Amino acid sequence: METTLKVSGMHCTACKMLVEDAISEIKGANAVSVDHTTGAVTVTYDSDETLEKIRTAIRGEGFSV
Amino acid sequence: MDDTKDTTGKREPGRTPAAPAKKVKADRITPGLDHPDVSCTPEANGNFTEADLTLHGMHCDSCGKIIGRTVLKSEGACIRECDRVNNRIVLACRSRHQIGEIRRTLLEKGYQALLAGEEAQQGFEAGSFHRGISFIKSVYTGENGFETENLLVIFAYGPKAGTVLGSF
Repeated sequence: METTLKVSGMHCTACKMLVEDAISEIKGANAVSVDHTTGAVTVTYDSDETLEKIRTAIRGEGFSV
Repeated sequence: MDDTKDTTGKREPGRTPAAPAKKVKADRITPGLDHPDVSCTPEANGNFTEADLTLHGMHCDSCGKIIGRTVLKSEGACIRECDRVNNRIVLACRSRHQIGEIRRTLLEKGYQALLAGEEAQQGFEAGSFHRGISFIKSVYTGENGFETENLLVIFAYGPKAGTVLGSF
């Protein structure tokens, strides 16, 4: 499954790297694209539980989803 | 080249007494470089090597997190001192080789960790490696306005030319 999340608070490439790293550490999740200029984070995930983990991880980095 | 100094953990003037090293999982670090979890103290009785590094390319809290995590992911390494005003850290590691490894990893992420006497190279900044990969991917996939370039790539290398970049 694939969806695009609207993430606010990303303002530079370092923020983008943080989000990518956070998603990459979640089993069953993959960051397809992260655009810090628009805040669009497209992810693939294997279950709703994984999607919730993705949201939690992004929030854990200090960004809003 | 390495301007590092060996020490045995003895107390030096102006330094705080050595305390047992904190064992913190890198993924638990959410604040920046100067957070106590990152600014751990090396093992009290073990030998360690220090390097006074000036960081180039660090401009925000996200950069601080990336650098702090990079250090913590290296077994036994930690930051003894952190001067956010001058972007300077004192890195403590088990060996000079480990310091070199950390510096290389930071460089791959777009940060130059310079020893005294070294000069920053132009063209490096946070995420420069990832931006380069993103650019190449855009050309190979035809996204972000690179449709024409993508046609040329397909013409030259075939339609599966971009699959090698899928792992990035």
